[in-house]
Amino acid sequence: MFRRRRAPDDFASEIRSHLELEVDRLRENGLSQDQAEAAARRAFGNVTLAQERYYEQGRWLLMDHLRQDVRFALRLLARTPLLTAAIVATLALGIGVASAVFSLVHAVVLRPLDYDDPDSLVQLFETGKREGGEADWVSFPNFRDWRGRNDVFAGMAAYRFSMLTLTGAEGAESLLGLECTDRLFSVLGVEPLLGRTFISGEDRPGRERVTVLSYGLWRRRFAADPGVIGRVLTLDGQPYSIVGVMPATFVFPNTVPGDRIVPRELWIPMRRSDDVEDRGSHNYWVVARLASGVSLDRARTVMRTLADNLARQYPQSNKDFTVTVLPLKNYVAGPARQALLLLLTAIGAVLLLMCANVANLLLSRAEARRREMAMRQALGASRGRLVAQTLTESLVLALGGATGGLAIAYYATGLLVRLAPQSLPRIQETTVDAQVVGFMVLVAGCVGVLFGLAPAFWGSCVNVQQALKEGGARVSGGGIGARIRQALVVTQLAVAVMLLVAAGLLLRSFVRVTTLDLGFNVSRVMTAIVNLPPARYGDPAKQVLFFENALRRIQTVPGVVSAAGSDSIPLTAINNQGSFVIEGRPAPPPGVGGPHANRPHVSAGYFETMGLRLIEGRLFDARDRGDSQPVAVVSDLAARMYWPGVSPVGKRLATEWADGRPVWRQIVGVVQATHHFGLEAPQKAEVYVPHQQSPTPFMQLVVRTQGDPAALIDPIRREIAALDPDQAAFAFQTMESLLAEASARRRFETALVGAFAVLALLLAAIGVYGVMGHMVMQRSREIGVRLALGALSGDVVGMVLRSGLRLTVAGVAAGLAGALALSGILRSFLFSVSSLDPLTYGGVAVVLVLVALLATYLPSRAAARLDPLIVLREE
Amino acid sequence: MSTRDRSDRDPLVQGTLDLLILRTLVFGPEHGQGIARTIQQTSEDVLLVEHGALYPALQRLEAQRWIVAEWGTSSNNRKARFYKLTPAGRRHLARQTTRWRRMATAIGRVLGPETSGG
Repeated sequence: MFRRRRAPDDFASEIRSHLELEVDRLRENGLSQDQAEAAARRAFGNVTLAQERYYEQGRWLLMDHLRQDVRFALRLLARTPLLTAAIVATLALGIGVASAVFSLVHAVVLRPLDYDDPDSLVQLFETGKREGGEADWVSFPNFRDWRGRNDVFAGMAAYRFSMLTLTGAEGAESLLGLECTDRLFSVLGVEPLLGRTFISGEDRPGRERVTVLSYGLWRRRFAADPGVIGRVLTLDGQPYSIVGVMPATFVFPNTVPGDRIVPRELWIPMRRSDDVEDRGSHNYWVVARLASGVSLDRARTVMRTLADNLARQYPQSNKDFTVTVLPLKNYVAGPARQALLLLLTAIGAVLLLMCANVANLLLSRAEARRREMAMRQALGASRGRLVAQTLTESLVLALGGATGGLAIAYYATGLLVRLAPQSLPRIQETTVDAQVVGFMVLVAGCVGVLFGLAPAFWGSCVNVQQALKEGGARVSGGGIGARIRQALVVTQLAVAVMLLVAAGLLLRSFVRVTTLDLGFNVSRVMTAIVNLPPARYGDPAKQVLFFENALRRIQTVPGVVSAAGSDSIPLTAINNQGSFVIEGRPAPPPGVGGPHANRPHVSAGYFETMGLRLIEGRLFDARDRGDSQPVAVVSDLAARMYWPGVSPVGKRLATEWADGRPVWRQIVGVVQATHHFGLEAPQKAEVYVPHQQSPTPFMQLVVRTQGDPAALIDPIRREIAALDPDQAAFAFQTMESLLAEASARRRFETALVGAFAVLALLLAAIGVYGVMGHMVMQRSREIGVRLALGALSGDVVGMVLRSGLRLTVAGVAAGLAGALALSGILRSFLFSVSSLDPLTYGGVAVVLVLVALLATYLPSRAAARLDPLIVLREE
Repeated sequence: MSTRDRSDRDPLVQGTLDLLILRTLVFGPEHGQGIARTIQQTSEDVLLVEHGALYPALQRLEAQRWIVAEWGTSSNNRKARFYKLTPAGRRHLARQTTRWRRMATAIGRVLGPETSGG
């Protein structure tokens, strides 16, 4: 519409020229200069109006108004610095914290994985039908059948973690490596930085040993030498030639069992091991890529049918298992996904509360400015102009909030990353990125427009005459504004109740988790890993000798109470799950599983060192040598599962076969079951076997001390090196820190939701305080009259408290109802606490009512102290 | 009390003034004061145009590209902004004139041949 831009000056000179021409004409007709000028003006009409109309049609107006509005807004905001600071700070805090949480969720859950077409990648599990249906690892024979018998996957690869000892001129070093089948890299669709990845068939026995290095290992051990391809590494005493180096961005897998923070250093083709023919040994992970055009649902159907066929074919090992197909993305984010989405919801609620509070503050501002609005309307400001003005103010506030929020977001993101359990996958990659900033700007904009509009419309609905007459400050106690504010406060209270209920339930779960009887004693115990290379320690007798000597040496370190070892200690996610057979029951043929248990191979003294309680019989001791009667100790859970109602002591079982025949072990004792697989994971049966009778080259040392366990690191290292300089103890961690890590995620979630809930409570209290204080101010005349007529200050306090209580009860009731309705969502986050826990609900209600009453009490006291003389004179 | 009287923005009146301006410009470029004077004279002082009301109309017509303006010098050597009819404006005038004539005839018929002065 404004195609032609013409400066207002130009228009003014046109009008001037018009008037001059008219004066000229009138003077020609014989009028004097003065008369002519007056007549010309009369004929022209209202010059200012003409100019104004011209001006309003141009775009000058918009620009001018904007500039004016912004200037005016800034001036106004500066005049009430406390209120302005409160609003900006509230907004900044809300936006900043929300952005930080969003950044975290984005990094861990939302961001796509760094593989080719990550959406078609899936993780496959065998899922036990028996044990609550949880996802389990895959046995190698099943993987082979899955790979060979389906057409829904373009590729499938199995892998497992492998501790590799790298030896060389720089000394011995233990690395976390990955053994994988040949197609892993092509399934992921990744290219190496240097050289090549594995070629087809490279995982078959008898092929040359090759390895692909991680970027980190290449930099650290080879100084990023581009000529590294073709060089030979010694891993576990075997030569491996380097064929490739992966780029820095490549991480696979993203998760490490047991949430331990260990870099993945290198990849080697799958090595030969005994369990590749055992369908009962679930020791492998499987990743696969969907063939193009195949949906997840179809893949699930096909795999389930395949699993049913395998269950019919191998009922002994497979009848209790089916297959789970999970998008890799969800698998990586894992349990963190749900938790982070919960956090996002919580922070959304807090953000809502912040908006409500700011809206409340703005509403009271608008209310206080009613008279000003009325005045401006009387002076000719249009309604649109008033709306624009109020909107500008809100946007200026929102902009201030967004700027502050950005600063807080940067700080809070860093803080969150430091506080968060480091086991959260991809957490270290959290940054405040463009998407997050976009999200923040969106939030700020919405918030600005949202509560810009409410006061604006409401302010512009003012009845000019009434507002001016009534003096502005004390209009309509029960007006629309008051009702909106009350509704806002009730909403705030309700949201606060919901958050507090969630926090309360999480807190109770957390207490349950941390007071759990673990079955062992974690204090003052150091753990470490020693992994003997098969090349030099292939002989089981050498393994036994090494660990016996190592433990004997460590035992002599000053302060050590006892030292022991096991190939799988609790909470490290290292385990030795597999099948065993019970004498006298239908024995399954070799290679097919039966009863299932975690089967730690432990040294004598392990139970004592860990503090595992003996329930029946005896523990392993010096009698149990390699050549003595084979024995076993089972957990009470295993006893209940497999020998219900009878004592297993004296019964026989077998975990191994020699020459195709089971090696029968006599059960000599029953110990308390442990939470081996994590605090919240279901417990599994345990069958302990003496290390001397069933040696392994891999041991986790557990050393109990009288002093600080951290002081044991150097002595243990020294003793191992003294025994064999090519061996290294690594992954030192105290049992206490393992326990802390095991509950870290829950602690983090509980702390954050708790913090949000407290914030919500605070905001709701401020909201109640604001509304009640405002009510007292509005009704000061009525209160003054009451006091003048003889009401006692107690009556006034009671009156205010009652109206505060009405709001509180409404808010708490709504919140409890909401919490009950949404309790289902929380159920999966709780641990042995009902999502309807009456103690939590009741406690929250009591706390909230008390806080709200306190927030009401202060204004009620102010009301009681009003001086009727002053109040009434003010009118 | 509002100082704004918006009845002059009535479309009929607006349309009428637009038409009169365009009609005046048929005889050649003219400045604002000249247009006002011409309308007053040719309507034999029946139509009393407040000169100020002319300018929003001129601006509107300019925006529609029915007229274009240029600063120039008046016959008595004063600087003035001269308006000129564009071909589009001329076409618009022709269309509107026909419409007006038809409407005037129709109104005349409704009101009858005899008018009581007024």
